[in-house]
Amino acid sequence: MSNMDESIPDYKHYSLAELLEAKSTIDKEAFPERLAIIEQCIAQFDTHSAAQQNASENAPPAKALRSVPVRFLGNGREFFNIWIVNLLLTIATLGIYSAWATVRNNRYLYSNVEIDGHRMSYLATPKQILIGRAIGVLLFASYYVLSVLSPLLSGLLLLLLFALTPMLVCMSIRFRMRMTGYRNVRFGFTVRYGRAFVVFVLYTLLALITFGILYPLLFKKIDEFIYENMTYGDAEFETDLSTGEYFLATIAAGVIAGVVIALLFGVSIGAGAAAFSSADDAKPISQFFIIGMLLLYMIALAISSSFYKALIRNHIFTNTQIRNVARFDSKVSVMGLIYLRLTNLALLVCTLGFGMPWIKVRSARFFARATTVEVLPGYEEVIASAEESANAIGDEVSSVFDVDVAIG
Amino acid sequence: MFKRQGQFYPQGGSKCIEVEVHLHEAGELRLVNESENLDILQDLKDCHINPKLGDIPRELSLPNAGLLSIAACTELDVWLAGSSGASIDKLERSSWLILTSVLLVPLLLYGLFKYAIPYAAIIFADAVPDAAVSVASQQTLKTLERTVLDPSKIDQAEQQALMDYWQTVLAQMPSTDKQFNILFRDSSRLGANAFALPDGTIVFTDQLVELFESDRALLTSVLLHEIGHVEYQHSMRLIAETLVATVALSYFFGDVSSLLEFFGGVSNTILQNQFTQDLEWEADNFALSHLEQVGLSNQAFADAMTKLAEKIGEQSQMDSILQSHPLMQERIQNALEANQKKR
Repeated sequence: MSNMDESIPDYKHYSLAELLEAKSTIDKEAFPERLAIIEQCIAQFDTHSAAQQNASENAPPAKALRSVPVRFLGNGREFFNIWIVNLLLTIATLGIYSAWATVRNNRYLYSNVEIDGHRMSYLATPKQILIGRAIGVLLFASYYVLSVLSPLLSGLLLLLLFALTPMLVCMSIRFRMRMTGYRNVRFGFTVRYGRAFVVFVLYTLLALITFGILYPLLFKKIDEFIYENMTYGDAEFETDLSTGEYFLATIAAGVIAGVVIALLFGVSIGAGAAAFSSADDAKPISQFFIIGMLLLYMIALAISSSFYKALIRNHIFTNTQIRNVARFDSKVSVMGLIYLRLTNLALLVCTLGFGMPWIKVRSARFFARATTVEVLPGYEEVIASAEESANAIGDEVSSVFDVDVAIG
Repeated sequence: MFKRQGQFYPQGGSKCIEVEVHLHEAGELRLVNESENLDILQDLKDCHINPKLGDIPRELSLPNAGLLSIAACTELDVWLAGSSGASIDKLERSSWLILTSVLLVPLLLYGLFKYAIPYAAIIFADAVPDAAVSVASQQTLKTLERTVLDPSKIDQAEQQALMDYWQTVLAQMPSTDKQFNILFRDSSRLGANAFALPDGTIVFTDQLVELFESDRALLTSVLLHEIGHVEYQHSMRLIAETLVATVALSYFFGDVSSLLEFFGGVSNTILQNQFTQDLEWEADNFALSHLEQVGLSNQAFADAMTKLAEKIGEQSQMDSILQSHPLMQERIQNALEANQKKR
């Protein structure tokens, strides 16, 4: 006790947490010079922590500069004009133009998203889309033909595709991320094939072996894999998901689906029995009946999947951040999402598909409104290599691996 | 010269500098921000201009410098258009083209699915090698025998008598390169039914023979219908049509979305039923045009359909509404009309 005055604690070797504790507990009147040293050390820590990424686990969460909404500025009418003209060109060219159409449609949807005064951008070139489509169509067609000719060979192909799934999924995510830009910096995805194999093959098998009980765990592992490996320029994503949340969302969605299907099925059987009392009339009604069943199924799916989607999206957004760049928040309401899905379905059916542009715009607006972004201090300091700069002309940058194989 | 406010993103990072952009008549632009000490003079010729699209901001890539984004406005569009020429944007804004598209898209899709795809399917069916067809057929038969078909319980002598009769019927048919192999199988699951596999295997269920009370004329009219399926290569055509239609649908509307899967599902069901019904009509007409040749009248076909229609009426309603055959009444009418024409 007596030598307390003489020996000044070695603050330089304190951790930031210890320093902060010392600062709050120290007798400021008695030891003004120690307080100064502590504050000096803390200040040093602050400048260091920006550079030392490992330190972030100990550091308190960075203070957000501002919290900004996500806004979607497109409108259905404008998008319809773009969509329909491109669709006509696609059909007239027997599908070849579809790659160009996709780029224009996506550019419209991406560039109308505004966050903090800056737009998102869609950076894929038609050529990249075309190659991906060609591979996808070829794979699908060969599988279909094989499945008719020889179940054995098609089984082998399916097995091969299953084994290749991790790679294809990684490539697909990577493509989608790399084709997304913000503030002239591309998003990215660090491909880890080994980890992808564990998640997509081993966890899938595990879920199957346990009769689906572990499906929520699989869903969580997949989301974790995706969000942990995303990047924005040189900034990395961090995510901390909870398995419990996935079990909750999956079970709830399953129960809701069961209840809704049972209810709808009961009603439809009653109606069906009444409608088909005479065999002669049955044929023209049969197609309506099949469509009706599909519709009921879709309604059940819309309701239960809305529940899952809302819960999980909110969970992922609140628990994911781009280190020192941004934190996210999502407040999707289950009822709001069910309403959106059901009205979209009605719109699609009533317009025979022509309402698609409005559906996309409504959905984009809905999810934008539910989302907030907290801007963190490092948002202007993200470094993008020549490849990661969005403005680098596409063809020079795109490697052969930048392909999104469109399956199914 | 006119001025606009713009956002300049220097290459290599996420920094953004608000700039005043001076756009000169000579196709030169100048980016100025005094507080950042920024002053860039750039020839538009060397820039990559992102094509105009809707009302999204116009973006310019400055070589090795960065990206410039300026809110869209007519004056700027005109200034930028000087170097980029014609654009798809003009088409997307043309009222007459939009209107034309609204009319033409459904028409073209209809034509595509109604004529182009079935036509392509015929070409495909012709191109499939016989060996592949035979392998596929035998695989299908094996699968069916494991699941819904049991050995026939019909008396061996009766089977033989029918077979012998059909040999004479087949001999009277126009020559064909197909080998027909007729089988009897018991199937409570399929009920009164007959089907053909692409390699010429034709299966009658015991239940159908019972329903027709072994009447040769009725059974033969069904046989001719099934031979029609084989001769026109309907199985392969159906496969090709379904495949191409699926790919085409996902290709045209395929910006992945769960709603579209639903849309695709519905249209596939409708399409497949449509394809199937067309094929059934073809097989019917094949049978009707050959009945006389083998010494039978079209009345036999009409009778066979009538019996089947009565049977279907008795069957559970679920079964009947899921069948893809055309309206029984229409088919009977078709047979009777063909009958009258001949007289």
